[in-house]
Formats: sequence, structure tokens, C-alpha cells
Amino acid sequence: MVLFSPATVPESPSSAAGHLLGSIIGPCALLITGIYLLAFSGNVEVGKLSSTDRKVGSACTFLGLVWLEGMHWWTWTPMLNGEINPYWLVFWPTFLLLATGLSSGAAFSLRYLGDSREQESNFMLVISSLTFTLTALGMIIDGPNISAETFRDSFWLAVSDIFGLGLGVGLSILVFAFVIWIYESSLPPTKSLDAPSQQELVQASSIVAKHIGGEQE
Amino acid sequence: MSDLSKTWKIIIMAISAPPLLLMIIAVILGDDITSQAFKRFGNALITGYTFSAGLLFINMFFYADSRHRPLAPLFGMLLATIFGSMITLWLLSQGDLLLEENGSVRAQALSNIVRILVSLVALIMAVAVAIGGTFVAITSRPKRKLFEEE
Repeated sequence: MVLFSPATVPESPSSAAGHLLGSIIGPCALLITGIYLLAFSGNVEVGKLSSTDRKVGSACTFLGLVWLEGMHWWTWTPMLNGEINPYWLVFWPTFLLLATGLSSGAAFSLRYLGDSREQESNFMLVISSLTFTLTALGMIIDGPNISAETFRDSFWLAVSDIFGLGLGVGLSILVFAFVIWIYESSLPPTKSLDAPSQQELVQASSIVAKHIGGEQE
Repeated sequence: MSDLSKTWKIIIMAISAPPLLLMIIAVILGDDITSQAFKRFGNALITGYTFSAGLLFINMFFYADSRHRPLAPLFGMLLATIFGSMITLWLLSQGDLLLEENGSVRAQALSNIVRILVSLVALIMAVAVAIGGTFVAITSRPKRKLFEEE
């Protein structure tokens, strides 16, 4: 229903969300499928995919990336009623910003937490540098539909979005912890048992003595 | 400082360094969108709080299940969620304070919800690229010998 909303209710501003979903579902699916095929056609112990799957995975990843890039650097930008879909200007800078940071984090995690993972770390640094460069280029060079200035504005709005979301989510987790803490601290303390009596200790030691020593065997 | 905490500090710095560098580039190129950015930050904060408080309220049912189903924490989290929604609507109705390019409070609230979902899709894709890329890099390497006897 959301996907078809641009056709069924074109005058509704909220149909832009359905339009964006329809526009990015193709490249995102290609990218995820490609990464899945590439990961599981490598050296995995169980369920290894064939070398053909590896080629298909490489092609899917490449096509997905080219498709997404074409939406910024070529004429494939999601357009709605002659204007750029406003949610594309939310999705694209947010994705680039998070991808460059998380890939760099993954690269350093491999290097410092892993054992002899320098090669893998370098690969992730290449991905981080690539997304970094694409973002920086977007801020400097005009695309056919998105000017550098528009992209810079969207970039700042994406930064505000990420900080705001992070703070809001963090705040709600704090409230959640606070509610649980209040409830737990209002519970009466659990009753602790009295120390064992002399008779109980004698009984326990006789039971223990029966099970150690091994004289009977 | 232990080695592990130093490592985590390096990783956190690695995650934040590229976005910070990009922000420096954007500052150098110089555009003043402080007012718009503040509105977006405020909208993201209140929507993020309400959205995630709602999810945590649902999560509270699982907590209640493990604690002989007390009503107090459920009620507390419900209040926190309702409080978030009320604050959101109140702040949005304060004229130009948080209203972006939307004509009404309802349109702004809907736009906030859609934007949070779009941002979540972007986050999922970025995580897929980062974690998926790491797996691709690890599994693409020839199998390593763990022991000489292998």
C-alpha cells in the first residue's frame, strides 16, 4: 500500500515516503543480496556457495552501488511531481555519514581486537574512504539534479537527525532503567535464612561423610 | 588505563573521526542553516524519544513476565511514553519553534515519523555495508592454520 501510494494518492505529501521506498528497494536489495552471496561464497565451514554465486554477488554489489550513485551523480534521482523526493535528501546523506563512520569503526576493530587482520582492516578502510570521498565530493561538486549547496544543507540536517535520534533514544533508555530501578528498589528485601543449627550441621556432615572416602568399595 | 579500555577508545574515535572531518569540510565550505538544523535536531530528539519509549513499553511486558506481572513498571513506562507524546504535540504547536516546511502540527508529526523510518532504513543499510563488508573481507581470505598439526 505504501509503495503504491504515489499512484493512488499522488496529491498527498506522505506518498513521498512510498515513492522513496519504491525507488531505493531495488539498489538496496541488490546490495544486500550481493554482500550475502560474496560473504557465503568465501571460506565458510558450512553452507558454502558456489563460485558462480560469487560472480553473481560481485555483479549485484557493483550494480547496487552504481544504481545508488546514479541517483546522486546522474539523472536517476527519485523525482516526485517534478521535484527531488525530500526523503531521498534524508536517506542518502544519513547512509553515507553512517557508512563511513561504521566502516572505519569496523576497520579499527579488526586491527585492534582481531588477530593478524590487517588485510581485512585495510579493505574496510577502503570502503570508509570511498564513502567519505563520495560525501565530500557531493559537498563540492554539483550533481545534475542535486547541487552541492543542497547536499551540504541535507548533510547538516542528517547530522542533526542522527544526534537528535541518538539523544532521544538514549533518554528513553535512561527513563526505562529509571522506572525499573524505582520498582526494584520498592520491593521488600528477600528474607535470608537463619544460620544452620548444631544438629543440622551434624546431619549434613554425616551425609557428606557417607559419600566421600570410598572405604566400602 | 587498561589495554581494553584504550582499544575501545580508539574504536569510538575511529567511528566518530570521519563524520567529524566531513563536518569540518562542511563548515569550511560555509552555509548557515543553524535554525533549520536546530528544528531538525529538536524534532528528531522528541520523535526518537517517543518512538523508542513506545518500543521499550512493549519490552516492559517481557520484564513483567519475569517478575510475577507487576503493574507498576508497566504503568510507569506507559506514563513516560504518553509524556513524550504530549511534549511532542505541545512543542510542535508552539508556532515556528519546531515546525519545518509543514503547515500543521499533524503534518509535522507525520513527517517526523516518516523521517525516523527513513533514517532507520539508512542505518540498516549502513550497518549491512559495514558488517557485511567485514564478513566479506574475512571469508575472502584463504583459510588460516590455527595449529601447526592441522
